[in-house]
Parts: sequence; C-alpha cells; structure tokens
Amino acid sequence: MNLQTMFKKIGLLFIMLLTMGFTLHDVYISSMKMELIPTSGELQLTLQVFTDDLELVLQSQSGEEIQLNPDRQATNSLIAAYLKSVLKFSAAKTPISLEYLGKEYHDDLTLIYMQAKLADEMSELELTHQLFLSELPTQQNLVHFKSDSYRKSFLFDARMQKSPIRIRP
Amino acid sequence: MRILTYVQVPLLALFSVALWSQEAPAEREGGHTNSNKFKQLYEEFSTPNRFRTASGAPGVDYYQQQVDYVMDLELDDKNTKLYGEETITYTNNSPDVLTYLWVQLDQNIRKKDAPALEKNGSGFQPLARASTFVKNYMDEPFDGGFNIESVTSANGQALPYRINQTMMRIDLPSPILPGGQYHFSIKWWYNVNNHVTNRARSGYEYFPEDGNRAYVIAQFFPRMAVYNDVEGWQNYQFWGNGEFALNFGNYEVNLTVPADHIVEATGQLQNPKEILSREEFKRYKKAQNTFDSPVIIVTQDEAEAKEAVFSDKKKTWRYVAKNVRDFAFASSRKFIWDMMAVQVGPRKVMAVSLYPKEGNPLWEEYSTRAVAQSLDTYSKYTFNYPYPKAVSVHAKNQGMEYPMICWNYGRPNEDGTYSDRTKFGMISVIIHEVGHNYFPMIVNSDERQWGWMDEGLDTFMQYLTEQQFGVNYPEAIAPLEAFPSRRGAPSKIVPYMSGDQSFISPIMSNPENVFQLGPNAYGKPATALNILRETIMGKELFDYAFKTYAQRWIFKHPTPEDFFRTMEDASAVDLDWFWRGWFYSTDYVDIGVGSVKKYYVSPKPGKEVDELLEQYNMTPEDLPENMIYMVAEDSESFEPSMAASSAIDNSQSLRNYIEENNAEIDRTNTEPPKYFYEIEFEKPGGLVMPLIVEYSYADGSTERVTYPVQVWRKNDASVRKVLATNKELVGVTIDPDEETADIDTSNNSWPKEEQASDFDKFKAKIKG
Ligand SMILES: [Zn+2]
Repeated sequence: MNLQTMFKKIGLLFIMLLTMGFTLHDVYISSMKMELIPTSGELQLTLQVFTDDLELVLQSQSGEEIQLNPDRQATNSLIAAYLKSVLKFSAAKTPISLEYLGKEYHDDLTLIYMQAKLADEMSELELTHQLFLSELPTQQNLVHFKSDSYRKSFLFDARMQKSPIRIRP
Repeated sequence: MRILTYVQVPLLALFSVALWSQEAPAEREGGHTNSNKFKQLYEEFSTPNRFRTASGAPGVDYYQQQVDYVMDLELDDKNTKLYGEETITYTNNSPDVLTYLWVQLDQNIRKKDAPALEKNGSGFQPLARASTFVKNYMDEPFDGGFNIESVTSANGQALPYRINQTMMRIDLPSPILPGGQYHFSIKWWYNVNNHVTNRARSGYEYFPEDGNRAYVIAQFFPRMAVYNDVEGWQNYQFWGNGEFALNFGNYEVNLTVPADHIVEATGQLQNPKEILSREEFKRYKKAQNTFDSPVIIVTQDEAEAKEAVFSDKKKTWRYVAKNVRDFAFASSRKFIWDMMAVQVGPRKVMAVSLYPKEGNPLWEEYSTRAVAQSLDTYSKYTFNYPYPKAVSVHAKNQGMEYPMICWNYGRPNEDGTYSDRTKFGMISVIIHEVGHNYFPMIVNSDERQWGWMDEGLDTFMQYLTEQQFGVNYPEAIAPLEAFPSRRGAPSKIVPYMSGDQSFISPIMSNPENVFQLGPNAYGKPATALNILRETIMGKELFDYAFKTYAQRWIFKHPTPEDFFRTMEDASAVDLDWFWRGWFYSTDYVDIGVGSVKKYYVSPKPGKEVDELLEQYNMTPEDLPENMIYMVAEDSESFEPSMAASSAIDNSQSLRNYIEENNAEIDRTNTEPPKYFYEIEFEKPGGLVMPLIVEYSYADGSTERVTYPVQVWRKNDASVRKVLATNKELVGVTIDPDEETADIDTSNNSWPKEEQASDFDKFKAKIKG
C-alpha cells in the first residue's frame, strides 16, 4: 500500500461508537465464511460487509467519489486491490494468493467471493485481517471457518489483526 | 381412514414401550434440576405484587413520579454554546419518603475525563491514519459536559449537590413526603459538539460551503432520574449505548435562537403568528387542513437566500408539551420546512419535515409521507397517536428519537442523485424513529436497562409499516414488489443466530454488555415477535395481546415481565418456552428430518415381535386377541406380498374387528391406508418450535401438517410421528416457507437434497 497516498486522504470518518440511537447500521462489523473443500483443496471465501462501509472506504482509499449498488463506475478491480492489501493469507511464511471472483448485493450488504488453492499437506494458515481498520477503528471482523464438520470462529479487530487458523483438526 | 390410524398407533406404542424397558439398567445416575425447555419462568420473573400484577397489567398501587419543567434556553450559534435555566417541579407519587433527588447529566459523557471514553480496551495498530493518530495522541479532547452554574431551591437558596459522572445528587433541606411536591432550579451551559465528526446523538452539522450549522439538540438539559418500584433511584450511569430512563411531565420551553433560524421542537408552538413571516404563517395555517400532500412553509429558495446572511437579532420560540418524557429541538437558517395534516382516529396530527437543501430532492418527496404512514400503521396496532405532531428532521448520518421529533439520515449525492439504497434507508429510518414515539416515548420502558423493549418492538412495528408503505406507494418501490425490509423476516436473523456463540448474548442483556447490539436489541426481538405473530400465535391472537400491552402501558413504565405476561394473559397461549428460548438464551432453531421408515400390515408376527415375546417368555398365543402385526420394509420378515395386498387382506384380526364392530364403523371411511410411515424428526438446535412439515406424495399432491411445539416436551433431541396414508410418500420438507429462522436447512428435507452452496452457485453464475 502506498502510505503517502493513504496519509494524504483526510477522512470524514473518525468514528467513536459513543452513541447508538439508530446509526447507519448500529455496529461496524463484517463476517467472512471460509470453507475448505477437503477433496479439492479449494478455500472458498465469502466476505459480507455493509455496502456503505465499503463505499466509504473505497472513497477514502481512491480519493474518488464512488457509488456502489448500482455501481457508477467499474469497481471490481478497486475492491480486489483493496482486499489484497487488507486480507493476507500465508502458510509457513509463504503468501497464498487470493483470487477475486466477484461481488453481489443483498439489500444493504455486499457479498464478495474469493478463492485460493491450498496444498494438501497444509494444516495451518495465518490470516492478517485489517479490513476497514484504518478508516473505522471500531470495526470488528468475524471469520467463520468450516471444513466438513470442523468449525471454528475468530474475531479480528484493531487489537487482534493476525491469527493462526488451524484448517485441519 | 382415521379410525384405522388409531388402531395401529397403540401397537407402535407397545413396540416402543417394550423396546424401552428391555434396555439393561444403566449405572445409577445422579439427580438433576429442571432444565426442560418448557420449564415455567417463575425463577426468572419477579414476584407479582400490588404495583405490577401477574397478568402483566399495572397493579392497584402502581405509581410513577411526575416531573414538570419550565425552561428558558438560548442557543449561541456564533460560539456554539447552549445556555439554560430550568425550574423543575417534582411530584412524589410513590409511597416512599425521599431525602435526596438524582438528576441525569447526560452531557457529561463528553467531559474530557469522562470514564465512558475509556470503557473499551485499546491497542496499537502498526499502521494508523494521520488524522486518527493526531486525534488520539495530539488533539486536545473536546471540552464538553455541563457547567452547572447554580442549583437553587424555590426561595433562591443554594442547594448542596454532588456530581457522580453523569448523575447529580441534590440533598434536600427536608424530605419529600409521599404525595409531596418540590420545586427547584438549575442554571447551566455547555459547549455544543459537532455530531458528525463525533458521531453523537446531539450536536451540530457544519456546512463548510456556507459556514452554517444545523443543530439537532437532545439530552441537553439536566433531567430527573427515574424513581420507581423496580429500581428505586435509577443508578446505571450513561455509558453511551444504553439510552434513557425518563419521567413523564409537562414542559413549557422558551427557546431563543438567531432570528433567521427555523425551529422545530417537542410540543405545540405557542406563538407562530409572532415568530413567522406573514407568508410563512399563511402557509402554516393552510397546512393544518391539508391532508393530501405536504404544504411547504419555508421553500428551498427562501432557505438558500438566508444562508449568506447571519442575523444578529434573536427570536424566541415558545413551546408547550403535555405528558412527554423528554424535550428536543432542531434549529438552523438552512432549514426547509413542510407539513401536512393526517387523520389519526378522531384526531388530527401534523406530519412535519425539516431539512437543509442537502436533503433534496429526496426529502421533499418522501419524508412527510413516511411520517404519515408511520402514524397510520402504528396507531392501528397500538393506540391512536396522542400528540399533536410528529416531526422528521434530516441529520447527516444518524437516526435518533425524541417525543414528537426525531433525526434521520438519508442524504443524496451532491448533484441531487441518490441510490435506491439511500432512499429505502431514509424511509426505513424515518418510520423507525417516528415509531419510537410509541415505544419508548409513550409506552415508556427503561432503555438504560433494556434496549430491546423499545428497539425490538419498534423494529417489529417498523417491518409492518414498511410493508404497508410499499403497498400504499408502489411507485416508490418499483420495480420491487415489496418494500426491501432489512429486518423482520426470519431468514434475515439466521447469520446472527448461527454465529459464534462467544459473540452472541441473550436478548435479556444490558445494551452496554453485548457484542452486536444491532441484531441483539433490534433484529432478533423483532424477528421473534414476527414469528410469534405469523407462525406461533396467529395474527388475531397476537395483535389483540400486543395492543393490550400497548394500551395497558400507555403513558406508563413497563418492565420486560409486564410485556411477557400480558402477551400470555391476553391470548391464553403459554409462551414461557418461547421467552425462555428466544429472550433468555442464545439457542437457535435447527430441526431436521432423520429417517423415514415404511411399515406394512403383516399376516403374522414379524421377527421383532418374536424377539420381544421371547424376551418376556411369551408366545404369540399369550397376546390378546385381535392384534395387528406391522413389519418394517427393511425387516427380515418383510415379504413383497405384504406390499402387494391391502391391510385388510393381510390381517385376519383386522377383518374380524371390522366385522364385529360393523355397526359402529361408517363403512365409507374404512378404506384402510395403504402406506404406513414412521418419520423421525431431529432437533440439533436448542430452540423448540412447532414442527411444520410438508408431505409430498407420488401423485404430486402435498399436505401441510403442523405438530404443536409440545411434541418436544419429553424428548428435546428427536421425536417420531406416524403417517398412515393411501398415497405413497415421496418427500418430507420441514419449514417449507422458511418461517422459523432455521439456521441449517441442509437437513430439512427427505430424501436429502444435495444443495449447491451459495459459493458454488455464484461461481456457476459468473461462468455462465
Ligand atoms: Zn431505534
């Protein structure tokens, strides 16, 4: 990530969750389903975020007016590049590349689909998850991992940005 | 057919009882307490008394304190300060002697050293935005909070007081006796914050292009804390999430603002003629009798013309509000103002909107109409709106509710275009916040303790109102067929309820202590009520009970039990299991089909019966007369001939019985069922729910059966049901309309359907 550009952008969004009432959507939270298909070694990721959060962050990252749902401009490459910078998988210190497949809108949510191919012998990944953190400091990012009947959940936030994820019990 | 069904049920019962007793005695187990899902709620509920009855209604000794305010306020726009002097009349309707009073100082949450600023843990990020860094480590914190200038008795004597964070204790010169009254005054001021940068419920938005501010001001004056039969003096400080506990009373407020400002506030404006221009007043009068569309009192052109001129003069807007629990106001020279009359039962109510030009064209189109729709639908399900008006004020990015007035988001792009998302979000939030007039402004629950009592009930009503808005304004939602409600439909709560248990709390939790307040206090209770209404109680019983609750507690202070009890009392539906599961636990719904077994009537006992008899040292001759033998299709004793002929042909006992009871059996109904099935339903989820099943038959027909929730009374994990039918069963589906928020539908059908995952569906879609 280009720090220079990032620091230049002055965000409108310093958010202290001091208050509730009925803000845009009460909490700043994302969730990501992460399923390992044991037969193919395919890691399927479905990231669910609030569309207005994503819009705000893309604006802040690109310095341009962005509108999602309906998109005013092509946004897929922008989203893919952003996610690459905040969602990082590695195994034994070797980065694993993520393939961005696309997105769908469901009411006020955006579902983003990504996949990766994992080697057979891998039993543990490391995930660095910094989604929206530099714009929304109270952002919480949940991850639900599943492989057959094995399930495990993780909470990432400003304090916890990196965690090992056991993918085979 | 029915009669024969009954014939074979006891037989199966014999089987299962016999099989049960055959199990070898296990090692002696210890005892246990009642953990049944249907256990009564006596331990969770407080004991009914003369203040609050077991029926959920206020008791004969129910009381509430009355607090009346007379206030002079002045808004200093140049210096962003607010000054106030208030005289409080406190009436002690309790049977208790009060030696001190507690006053709420909510603004103190903005003090530099407020403990609320440190209520969350913090940590370092390796990477931080410069603005965040400066804000966290270099900026002077905002100098907010009350400056209390004086607290004096009616005769001007200074009263001793002690401030504890967001509350202030006033020590009384002599106690207030039951039925007594006390008058005192407080003089105060504070620095008004920017609510956009601070994400606050109250403050101003600054418009750098023209240097103006739009104020939305609330929880801005010292307000009396609640004293009642369940809490004594309310002692839960304001930490930010848990909102307010407030008393009813009457307000007289004189509000002085720059002369070119337009103001809206809680209460009836007393001096419109004096305060408005001649043209504005003419329009204002006209609006009072215009029911078809909003009348614009201050146009966009007029508002824009004022933006560049900052008047040095002042005007005082005078308001009177009866029987409200709070007072809030909005003020700016940027405001456009429209209103329209709405007939609510016997009463005329004004639906009003106030917005800067930045809200247009969206706001002039939909705001006042959404207000009108809310008044209409909410009144239908609760009580006729009792106040003279309901105002929707546009604030940039918050939604917040006060009596008769609320702030709502929904801002178009700078060029005036807006997405559907912005439009629907705006209509939703207006409905929601106007709806808060009913819960908690009028049905005055304690928000500080229970967020769901107003948010959950309001979000439930919001769903009904949004759907009705879609019906009334089809062009507003086209090409959609129904309003896209974000919450309320059962499927919408599944992601939350199926989430990691360590981040979920029961609904019955304090709003400060939950991980995800949105789903916890809004979405889940709203969905629970929706399921109660649509699936469990039925609309008629639910609506009557819900209305009873609203009407019993109108202008009073209900507790959660008052709600739970009334819903049961007014419907004769025992719902202890429902409250226990949905409100007191984090259990979820997951019900599935286990196995489906097919049985035939057999001429002779099958292997299973033989084994059973052998175990008890019996022979078939020892059995009573006229036994009918059933054999499962997968049993060794099964023979294809059993399937080929009818039950009557297969069983001499059955033939005998029908012969003997000929007179009593209506011949036309004795066609015996061809197929006997035993279906096992499994319940991996902790919540008990009625078992809604659709049976599909080979001839293409389907049959819907709902087994009552009570099927789970004695076995929480699984239950078996018998189906005797003339048609061959080809499919079983649980919860076919997805009305129970079942978190895992992969086990909902037999034969098991291999469903492609959403992920695979998406991949297939982008490939195609
Ligand atoms: Zn609300």
